[in-house]
Amino acid sequence: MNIERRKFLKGMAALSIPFFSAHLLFGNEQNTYPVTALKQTTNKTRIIRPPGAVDEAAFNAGCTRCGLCQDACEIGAIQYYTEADGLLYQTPYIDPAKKACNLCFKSSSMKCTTVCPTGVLKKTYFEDMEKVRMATVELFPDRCLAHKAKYIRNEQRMLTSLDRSYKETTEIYERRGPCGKCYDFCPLRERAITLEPGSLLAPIIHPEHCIGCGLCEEACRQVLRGIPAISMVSTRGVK
Amino acid sequence: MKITNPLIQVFRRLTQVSVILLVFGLIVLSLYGHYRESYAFDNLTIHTNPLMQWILSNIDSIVSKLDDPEILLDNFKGNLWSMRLFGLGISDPLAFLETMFSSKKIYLPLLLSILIPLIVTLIKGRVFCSWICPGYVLFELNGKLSRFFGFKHAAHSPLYKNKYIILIIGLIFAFITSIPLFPMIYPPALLSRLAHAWIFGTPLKSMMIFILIILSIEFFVYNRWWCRTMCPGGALYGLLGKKRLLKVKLDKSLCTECGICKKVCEQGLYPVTESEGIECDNCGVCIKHCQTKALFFELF
Repeated sequence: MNIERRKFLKGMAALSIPFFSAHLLFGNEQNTYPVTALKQTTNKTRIIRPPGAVDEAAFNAGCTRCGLCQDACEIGAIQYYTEADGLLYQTPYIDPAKKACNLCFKSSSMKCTTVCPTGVLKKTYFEDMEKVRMATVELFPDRCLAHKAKYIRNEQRMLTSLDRSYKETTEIYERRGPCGKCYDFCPLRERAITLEPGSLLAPIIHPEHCIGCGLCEEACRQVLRGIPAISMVSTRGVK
Repeated sequence: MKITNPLIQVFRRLTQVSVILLVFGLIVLSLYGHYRESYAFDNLTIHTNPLMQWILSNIDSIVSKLDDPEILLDNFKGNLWSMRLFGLGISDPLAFLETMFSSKKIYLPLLLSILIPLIVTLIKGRVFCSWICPGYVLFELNGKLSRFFGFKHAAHSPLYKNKYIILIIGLIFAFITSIPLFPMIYPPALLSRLAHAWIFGTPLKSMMIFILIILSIEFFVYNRWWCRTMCPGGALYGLLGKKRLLKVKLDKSLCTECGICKKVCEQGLYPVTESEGIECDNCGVCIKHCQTKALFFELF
């Protein structure tokens, strides 16, 4: 290898053209995917895999990093770990904080499991939805609007029974409409989420039935616009 | 059957261009599917540039006329590492080998999906490299640019057996640690993902840096360094195509030993003696440049 200085400088000038054009083309490092996501912070430290995924060790070994599941997931729920995430690089994850899995309710089978060439996402039909375990669910009643409404109404009932004066807040809740969004969006209504009888739509969760799609978390984030009252907990640990 | 038609190079370029168009087309179709599914088609001006907007609205005008657009969108997906065409899975043999070693299992659909590339390689040899791989196109252009700016590389890197060692080490590494490394360094997979990340707007820093390192080394030091000495996919295709039916052969009575074929060979071989070995990738450049038509393709 014998390069003259003049030639080297010439070559550097020539090479700077592709480097500079690459910077112009690819310089945008901001993650704008998926396009329809809410403008909120992500939480990709909890590992939530697409539906039908085998256990974590077999998943990391068997996934060939082809990217087909992201193409198949047209609602944009499936995203990829980047080089900053170490060995999980280019494996898929779902972040309900950005976009939750809707289990492809329009088609007969879940599209990501149909296209997966390696079988780490086992083919799952929509009828077998209940067998999917992506994550489990967790509820914080102190942040939940419906539970708050229930507490306040109980307080008012107590005050009424004591013949003490109070501000009429029940009216406000009745006028605005109770929340219950997690119940509305849950694909396993009356199994994974039930409503407390006699309350203002306060949810009760049943983690043994939960499939972990994250639709309740997504809905709750839209209501509360911040930390949700109901959220997914990874069964595969955190990164 | 002797084939010496110089139009072979035209066909090769057309194949390369159509493969690149196919890769980009699949990505753009997938992006269109995303917009369609999210009912975000009216908001395109916010997210993409005018060219992409124009392409997507053309796709929309075509797709919306179809009876069942879901069939089109579901059956055409993927990249050169693993793709679905007409609902049929087609994967790289290296992807199958890597996954087999890292997961210690043979998954039958994946084995079936490599059949088409496997049969083509067994018949035609290492043509994936020279006719399909987008990395080959990029590195070929880079080499031409390098020569245009006056870097006459004296010799190709002599360590051409490196790539077999890298293939074996990578597979043993995958077997021991269960970490597949090849999709992170294999240019067709990498460039497809890079194009995907570029169009979809996901972060892609490290992939770009790896490609730029290869380009710089090929620009300054060794011409065609990656394909000749490093690529595990090229090694696998070379080994698979060892007993190939399509070969570049020599008519000794016509050869004048002028040495032009050695100068033009992309893999740095001397086609007169080495054209039937596993290093040749059947690109056919030497056939085009041979003055006396001593070199020719022969099937069987």
